[in-house]
Amino acid sequence: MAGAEPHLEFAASSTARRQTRLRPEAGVPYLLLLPTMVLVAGVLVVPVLRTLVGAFQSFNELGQTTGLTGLANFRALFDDPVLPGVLRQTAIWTVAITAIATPISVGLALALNSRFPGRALARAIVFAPWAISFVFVAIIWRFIFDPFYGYFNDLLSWFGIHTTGTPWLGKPHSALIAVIWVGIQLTIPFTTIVTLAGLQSIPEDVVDAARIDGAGGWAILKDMILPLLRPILAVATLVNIIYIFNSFPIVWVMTGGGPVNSTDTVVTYLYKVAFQNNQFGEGAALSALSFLVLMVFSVLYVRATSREEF
Amino acid sequence: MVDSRVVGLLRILKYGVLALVISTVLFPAFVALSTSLKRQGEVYSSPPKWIPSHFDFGNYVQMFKEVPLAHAFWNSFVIAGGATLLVVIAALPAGYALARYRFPGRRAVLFGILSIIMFSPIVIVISLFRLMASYHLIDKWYAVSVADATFALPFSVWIMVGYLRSVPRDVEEAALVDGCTPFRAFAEIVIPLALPGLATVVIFGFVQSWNEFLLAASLLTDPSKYPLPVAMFDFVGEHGVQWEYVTGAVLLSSLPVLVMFWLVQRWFIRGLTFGAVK
Repeated sequence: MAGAEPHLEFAASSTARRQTRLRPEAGVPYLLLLPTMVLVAGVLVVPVLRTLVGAFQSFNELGQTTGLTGLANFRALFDDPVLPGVLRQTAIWTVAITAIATPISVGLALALNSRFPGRALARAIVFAPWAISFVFVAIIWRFIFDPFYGYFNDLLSWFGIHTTGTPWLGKPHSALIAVIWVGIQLTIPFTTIVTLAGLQSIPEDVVDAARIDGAGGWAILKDMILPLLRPILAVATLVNIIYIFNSFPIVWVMTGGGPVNSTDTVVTYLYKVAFQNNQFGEGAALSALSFLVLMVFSVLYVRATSREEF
Repeated sequence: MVDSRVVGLLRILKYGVLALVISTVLFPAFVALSTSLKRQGEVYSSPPKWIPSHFDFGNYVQMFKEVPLAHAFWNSFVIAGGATLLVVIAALPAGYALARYRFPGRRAVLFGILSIIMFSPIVIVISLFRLMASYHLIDKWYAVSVADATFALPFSVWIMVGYLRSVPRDVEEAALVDGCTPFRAFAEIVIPLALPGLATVVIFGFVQSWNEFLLAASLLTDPSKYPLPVAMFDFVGEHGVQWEYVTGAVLLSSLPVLVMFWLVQRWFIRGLTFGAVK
């Protein structure tokens, strides 16, 4: 059987007659992949290429290209006095959420992996925010932080802290902390699911065998579970970095990037530059740069996940 | 002995974290429920009343008049339904090709799919908008479906490959030897066995598209075509927010996907073990 020829794997051992019958099917796997390829090409590949090209083009108000401009878009971008703050907030946003949400998720996954009454319900509640639109959750939190009618100020007053009237989302520092808080909350479910899936792939009999051999709970956790969990944690961390960097609705709904750009991250700022200021060239330049940064993390992600042979 | 104390401490920490996270999840849900049942005057009382003094279920009827909710529900349903259909049409055959056939370029395709699993709409949204505009596809629900489907696709293919690989080959082989056509073997043997995987993909695609915000907000400009997240954001953005309606609408909009997710939660976690984390 020619190695390069596509064939059903289990047909390898069958008769020569079957192989001749399979020959016309050489194109079958490609045909089966066609719908996926068409969608990915049209919605991802072509727009990515157009973004990369667009970074070097000039545009009119309607977003139509008017020619090449070399590095003018990048120059305009780096001259933009708002950008340094946006980059700083993006770094704080990404690092803070990843650093806080990841360890919490691991603890949570460990808890949800051990048996206790009500575990099914606990899991359902913990995972629930993942299934809900971040827009909806962010809308509710916006109300919770309302200076007069929101519940947050009232909650603080239980602890003797009287802050009624404080516009938490209207002040730069507290607004950034508030969006990060919601970001953490919405990052935990998926990370926990990924970690829990990893924990479940650790064969139970191995853990039981160690227990019979007299290993204590701490030893099992430290010497067996955590080392086995390490690659999973690497994946979860990378997934988080990529997702959080890309996250748009939390900031957009809660503060719109304000007050005065103090909660804008690269993605919300990108959106404003392109769709509110109609600066499509600068938007494309910022998109292209984000794409390159994300490429690096994607490569790391693929390397971390693909130790499994294909 | 130190061991047992450490273990005890870890246990307290573990369940402490669990209790804390559960309460932060339930808190906004409680706020939404409580507010959605308040009379208008009570919503705007400071400090807020945690339990409404009178449960006004009429809000859930009134909100359909105040918020463009019925329209948005229908738009969401059409957009997410179309996207889900596309995801299945694309992911099922692709998963089968990658799980069952050996062909040149297979590894490249698998790597390609894995590397775009994390891809986010934000990087291409400007280009996509311009591309769609040049084909007069702005304000077309199916353009949003196509975009949503594409972003749900890589993960769906990944899940499908995992599930289809776990379907034992000998059953399918036996059917083929018995003279069954490959298509019938696929439809009658493979699909029923891969049903949990298919269900996961269907619900993942639907939930993802139901919740998607950025693509819909960029590719739709006509408010009567907005799906729920965009419509709700639009409504909140306007003058004087009527929180008793907004909170109730948010709860109603979340309910369908919550139920769906609970139904496949177990399969979903299994799907992840097959794919990304293994």
